[in-house]
Amino acid sequence: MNHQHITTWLDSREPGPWTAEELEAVRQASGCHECRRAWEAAQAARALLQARSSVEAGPPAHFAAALMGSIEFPPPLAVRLWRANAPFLYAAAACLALLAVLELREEIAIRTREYSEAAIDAVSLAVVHDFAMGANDDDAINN
Amino acid sequence: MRCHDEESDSQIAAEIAKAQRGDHAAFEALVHHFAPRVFRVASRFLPTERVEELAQEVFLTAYQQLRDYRGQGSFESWLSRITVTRCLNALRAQRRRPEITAASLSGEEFDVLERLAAAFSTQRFDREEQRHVARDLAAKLLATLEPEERMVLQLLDGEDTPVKEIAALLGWSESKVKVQAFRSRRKLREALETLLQQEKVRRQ
Repeated sequence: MNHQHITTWLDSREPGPWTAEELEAVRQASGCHECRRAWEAAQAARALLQARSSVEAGPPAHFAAALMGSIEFPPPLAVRLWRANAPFLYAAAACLALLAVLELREEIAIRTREYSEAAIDAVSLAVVHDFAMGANDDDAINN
Repeated sequence: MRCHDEESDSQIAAEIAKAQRGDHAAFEALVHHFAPRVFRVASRFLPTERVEELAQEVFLTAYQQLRDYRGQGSFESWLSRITVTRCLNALRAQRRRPEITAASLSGEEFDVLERLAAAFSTQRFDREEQRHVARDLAAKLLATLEPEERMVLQLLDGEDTPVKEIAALLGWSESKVKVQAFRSRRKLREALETLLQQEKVRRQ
């Protein structure tokens, strides 16, 4: 009698509970010692794996808090941007301050020069004026 | 119900978006929401005492990679993929146990094994202790297999996860999952056949 062992389909079946067709095939093959041994072992294997899957572990109450405590969160975006760009910003501020000082110095120099020139002009005018007035007085005396 | 689910989904999507922008409170809300799922998945593959540590690693990885999450597929699937990958790495780091022989099993373990092997058994466990014995025995047997074999077997026959889903979780092709499943089932089945046979000979 030509008998096909059930071992191949036992090892390649789709996941899930045994179907009625599968159980019928097992019944028909139960007269074969090799098939019966294979079926018993396959059934035990499935039952053991199902028992292993029935383990239920849940998170303890402190889990989320402990996890959050262990994570090193990066600082907010503004702080990160500041930290990354602070040297450039300091340098830029220093440059601006230097430019302002230079500008101010130049302004002071110009103002001083203008003032000096204006003062000299006023003195010169006064001298010329005094000189002219002095000449007129001499003429009056002579006359 | 559906309306409630949609509301919940949109809330989660909003929390994810906020967390991606660096909102700590939003990330904490995600941890609260998804931690039970991560613990459940990890407990399928690792001993209970290692589950919390692994869950922490999963959420740290999720936090670091949060910006890479583009919303293709659910956040839960994305997190499950990270969990399964981490579990696989943890299993790879463990040393494989040598093959189990009948002499290394207790009488209680054999009783449970014979009960489970009994043809067409429907009532599996009379007492909760028997379920514990079965879990420990399963862990012992799985420890003799390669990490990938354990992972596939647990997902396939422990969880009844469809092949397509396993492929997505592990990042494998469906044909690779099928080949691995075939080999792993055969390996475990043959190991159990040998154990049952050894015990029958011992009792005779």
